[in-house]
Amino acid sequence: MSSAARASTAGSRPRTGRGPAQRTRADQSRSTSSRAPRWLPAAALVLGPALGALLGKAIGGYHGPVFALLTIAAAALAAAAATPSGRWWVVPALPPVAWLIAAAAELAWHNPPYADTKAKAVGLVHATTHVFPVTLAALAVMGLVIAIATVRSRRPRGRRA
Amino acid sequence: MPDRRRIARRRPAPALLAGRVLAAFLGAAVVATTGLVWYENKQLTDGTHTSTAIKGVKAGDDGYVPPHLGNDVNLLLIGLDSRRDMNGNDLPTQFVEDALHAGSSGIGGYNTNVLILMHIPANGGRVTAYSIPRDDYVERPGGNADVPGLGTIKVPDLGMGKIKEAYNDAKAYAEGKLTAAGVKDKAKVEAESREVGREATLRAVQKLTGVHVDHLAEVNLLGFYDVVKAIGSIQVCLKAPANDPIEYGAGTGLKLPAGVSTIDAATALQFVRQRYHLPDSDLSRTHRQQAFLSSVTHALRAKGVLGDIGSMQSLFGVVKNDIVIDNGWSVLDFAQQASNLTGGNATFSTLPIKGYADVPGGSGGKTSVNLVDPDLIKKTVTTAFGNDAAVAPPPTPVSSASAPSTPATPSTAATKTTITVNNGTKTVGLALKISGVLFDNGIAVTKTGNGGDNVAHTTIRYGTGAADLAKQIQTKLGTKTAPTADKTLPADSIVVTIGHDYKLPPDKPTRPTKPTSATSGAQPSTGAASTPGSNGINGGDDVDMSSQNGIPCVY
Repeated sequence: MSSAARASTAGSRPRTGRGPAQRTRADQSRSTSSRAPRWLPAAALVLGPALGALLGKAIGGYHGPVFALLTIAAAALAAAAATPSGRWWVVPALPPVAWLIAAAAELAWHNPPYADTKAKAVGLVHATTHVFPVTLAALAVMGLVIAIATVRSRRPRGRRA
Repeated sequence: MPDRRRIARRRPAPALLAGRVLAAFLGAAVVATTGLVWYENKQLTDGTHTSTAIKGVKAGDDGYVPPHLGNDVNLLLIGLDSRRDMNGNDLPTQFVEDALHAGSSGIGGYNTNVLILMHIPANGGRVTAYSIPRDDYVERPGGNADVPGLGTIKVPDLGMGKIKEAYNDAKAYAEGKLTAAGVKDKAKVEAESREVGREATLRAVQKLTGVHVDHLAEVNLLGFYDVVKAIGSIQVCLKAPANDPIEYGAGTGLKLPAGVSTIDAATALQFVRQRYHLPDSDLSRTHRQQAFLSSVTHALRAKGVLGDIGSMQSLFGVVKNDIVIDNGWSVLDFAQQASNLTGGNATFSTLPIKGYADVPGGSGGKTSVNLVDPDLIKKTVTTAFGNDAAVAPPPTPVSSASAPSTPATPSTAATKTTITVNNGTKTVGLALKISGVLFDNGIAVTKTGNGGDNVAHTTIRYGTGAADLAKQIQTKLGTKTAPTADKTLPADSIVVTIGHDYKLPPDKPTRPTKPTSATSGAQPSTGAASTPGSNGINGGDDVDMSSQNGIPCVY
């Protein structure tokens, strides 16, 4: 299990011994994530880009719009499904995971295959060039999702106040 | 106590906190690193002028050649003899005349004075490049050109003409159409009409050679200048001393000794532009251009620019305003694909011609052209470009004249002795060729000149202290008459006067396919072809980038 998966599991684990106020706040902030399977954030984080690369390859470009859309959508899903604690792991895990998948796709599927180390290094530059804007967009969407979740979790407390 | 316990539980455990920090650091590091790579890569190509001309030549057009299978790359280098910038503005006259030594801004038009078709095999084999002589008399097909804002225009068939003029003629036609359509933006007219010119050049080149052009790179006079200026200086090697005075508005002013010289940007431009006072005029000039590319590559490699993305970026930053590349170009891919080129594993040849002829045209009513055999050229190019199976051997053996196994090192005696070779015959360029023969034998000639038109016998005269070297020269040239002492000559000087009895050593085989007698191809309607023999004129010795440590010696 990846660190992100462990994190999301840990993040959604019920905690005991909290006061009523904390439990309520935690439960509310987990309103979306508590309904999601514990494996979902990690799975989305990995499968989104992987599926995007696979489908993209079938369509014509493993670093194309399909890869970008699925990676961003999966990042949003992962952020929404993760617990507040899990988000500490899900968000930082996105860049390396997306880059690794993009790099693996580039080295595995580039036609013609990269023959030597120098060629592979150029391939990694290509993969990096393609994945960086996608990563930025995905991080931005994650931030948005987390911000919305945070606002929603605080709203009831505000009402009580 | 309960409050303190609650506070303690609210704080994450130190290990968890450390893990979070570590994860955040890792994520941030990946973002920063990928961002840096993205930025550097972006900087490499941002702002570069790009062309869609490759895709502009469509199936159905005369001159269209379908893309070849496989991943080899055919690259067309276009050197534009234009004194205008990308927006159609004249380069500053003072700069053109004083720095570039290129005459006034009105000269040159949009002739493609350099056309080099380069084949980079995907298997890492030897790079093969062919210079297409600019005056080759070829078919210049028309075609449909998509001009933004104007729609598709039908560029008429330009007929037979010099291949260098396909660009200029098609551009002029498109410029007329754009102007007539009311397009007033000068930069837009320039950019769009140049695209049409590029497409016309591509059609003519593909029609002539029978191979598909995958990528193009166009550079103007300023680009040549800026490349060398960015590098600082380059080294070139001449087999014979160059002296090309500016006379009657022609000439470049180049003056260089035989051997290796370090030259600056302005001199480099003179080096590639000289066409007078050369053994084979334009054909010799193609070898200068080939040697220039080799020297630039050598300099880039020596300075560590190739393979260093930062240095490449700096260089690109300087020259990007002067060059146009096709929009499918990836500088990184090219750098990787062309590793053999940058490693010196490349051979430059010049496409053969059948002879010369005068055809109607030009300011004087007629103009001199190179007659070519299109079938032979197709066969030559397609054979060479299709011969990638073997990685190591080049498709054409390299002439030992241009690529001796060891660099020609002029003898010590020769370096302090003034050697003058005079041409005593009417054969143009003979003194230069003799200088080349001596250079290949390690003797650098100091000066060439004319020694009359009708000298019967070759003589070698020497001043005090030059007897031994004079004897060596006699041996190398294989002349019959023994050198004679001449007290009228200064000490340490030798004067060789070539007479009609001297015969140049026969050319060594340079290519598998030599030009043969005329077989096909359109001929000029008027003008007498001065075909020199049934074998025509081959393009001269190949230029091997690996020779002389990447600084091949040429005339």
